[in-house]
Amino acid sequence: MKRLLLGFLILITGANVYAQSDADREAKWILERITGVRWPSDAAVLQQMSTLISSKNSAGAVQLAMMQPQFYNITVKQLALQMSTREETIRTPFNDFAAAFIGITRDDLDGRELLTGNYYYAAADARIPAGTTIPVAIGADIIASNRHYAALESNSLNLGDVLEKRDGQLLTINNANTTAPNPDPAGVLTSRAYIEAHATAGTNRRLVEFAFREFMCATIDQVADTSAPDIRIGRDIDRFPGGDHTKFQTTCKGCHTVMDGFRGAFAKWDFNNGAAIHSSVNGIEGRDADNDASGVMNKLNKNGNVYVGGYVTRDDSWVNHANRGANALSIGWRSPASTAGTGVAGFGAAIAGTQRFSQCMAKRVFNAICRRDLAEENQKLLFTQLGTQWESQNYRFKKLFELVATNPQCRYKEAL
Amino acid sequence: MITKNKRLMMQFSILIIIGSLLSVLGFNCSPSKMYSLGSSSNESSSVSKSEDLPYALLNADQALSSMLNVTGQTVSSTAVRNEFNIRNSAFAVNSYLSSMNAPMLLSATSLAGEVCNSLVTTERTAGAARNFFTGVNFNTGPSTITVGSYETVLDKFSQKVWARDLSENETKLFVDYRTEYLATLTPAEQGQTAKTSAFYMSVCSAFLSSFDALIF
Repeated sequence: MKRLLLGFLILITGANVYAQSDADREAKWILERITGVRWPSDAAVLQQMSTLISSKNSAGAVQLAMMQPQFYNITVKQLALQMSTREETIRTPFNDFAAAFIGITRDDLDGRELLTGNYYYAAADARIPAGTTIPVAIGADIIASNRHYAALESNSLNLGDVLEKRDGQLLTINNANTTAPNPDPAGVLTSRAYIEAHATAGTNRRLVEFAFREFMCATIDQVADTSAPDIRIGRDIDRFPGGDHTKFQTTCKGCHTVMDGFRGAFAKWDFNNGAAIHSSVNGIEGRDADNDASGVMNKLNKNGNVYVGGYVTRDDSWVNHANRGANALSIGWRSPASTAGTGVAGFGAAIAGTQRFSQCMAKRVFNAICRRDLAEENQKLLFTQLGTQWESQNYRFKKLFELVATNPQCRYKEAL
Repeated sequence: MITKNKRLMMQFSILIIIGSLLSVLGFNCSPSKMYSLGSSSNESSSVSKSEDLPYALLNADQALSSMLNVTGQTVSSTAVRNEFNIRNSAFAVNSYLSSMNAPMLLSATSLAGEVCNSLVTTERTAGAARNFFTGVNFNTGPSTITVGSYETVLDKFSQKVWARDLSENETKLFVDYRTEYLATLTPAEQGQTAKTSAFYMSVCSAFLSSFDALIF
């Protein structure tokens, strides 16, 4: 009997030791993936996380990991930086787009405000450590240049601590020191970084293309629809490329009907002299000569003789030509105002209201922490599921990180 | 002067060789205390087959932040930031192991050198509060470094940087490095305290720039 009890005791002890070891491994994995950096095995936070995991509270362990400064300084920052520029690279200076992403995550705000919020994030003066020099002039350093944000990064400040939410997006008038309220605020879509990346030169189609790309994880050719009307396609698009109208009907039209349908939203936007500009603000003092009487930037109607019968943009209205057939199913437009609207604010709200937006954010968070590729069929199922769960949690990004980090598919199969 | 440069070159070569051997031989071949994520000698052979691996490569920001984190440094010095700015572009911008290349490893070594310089400088005067160099006498030359105290330092680095024990192979490589390092020094140099700091800085750099330290 004694031997039996001893054997049982050894079995129980052994099982506990094994369970503890598993919890330690799980804690380390979660902590490193959430923070994006390696940790020493004797870190206090690891012990706490391990205890939580042992008591079947993996979500609590993830929450603890998200309290580490590296979560914002590395993981969220890099996720956002990749979305903020045309090159989609993390090798980009910290900017207002990434600051807003970090702020919305830290403050547990509705993730849809990423595309609709009328606010921006900058360092609170009182939170800047003594002896650190950060340029803080609202006009010259924050709105009309990236100096403020670049300095936060180069001084290695703790981004999760120093940033504060400032209500009311601003634009500069004439010179960098005078500001006015942004008449068409739409979260990061009207951030300096996004406008610089996609409104510099060009015809403002890129702003639409990258909105689909970054916030719905869809390239424009993936949502191309040659059956949609071409009524909104601009005059600068040749209807007979190489003398062949069929080519236009079967290829060019598919992408342009979507891009040109939506690009009216950005009709009054441009990037000039280091700042995002809106014709209704800059028109006040006649800073920008590029906008006509209606406030539409000339670049939207340039090269008008390529096809004179094409659409002439006269205001910032837009029409959704990506809501038919397969697009309707894969994008899942839900907002009542998603068939047509005005301005970037309306466009952002329509995008943020789609099922695809939630799924795309789930995918981006998955890529940021799981760092593994899933088979196409598994992706669709997983991101649909995670997107739905995220919505039920009021679109809070920290909840999404938690959902993803605790999902078995985030782990390499051999590590399960 | 030429002899001195040659000696420095030799020391640097030994460090590179140790780093390279650790990169190849030391790829998680020791039993893990905390994490292995399925590591085994069989799995290391699958590195080239697919990117769907339990490991991800650290990018520049992550590598610097990791080096500081595992060595318990919360603030990076100006020298570290300057080195980071110089080496930043050699690091990968994605997490695929296949993005690792020679320039990246060399840059990691340079960056690790500055981080370790900062660590040695701090710990040299930290007394009992040392985390890595407990038992090391920085006031004497490297000739007084005993295998015992050296192995204590190695164990500290192994646990904090790799979160695991050193394998026999790895221990032997490090012990051999100590022998070879001493052999390259003149009797006068063996008594110089700066050479002790330089020795431990090179050991620290080998850990921080090893393959295991650049993945997660």
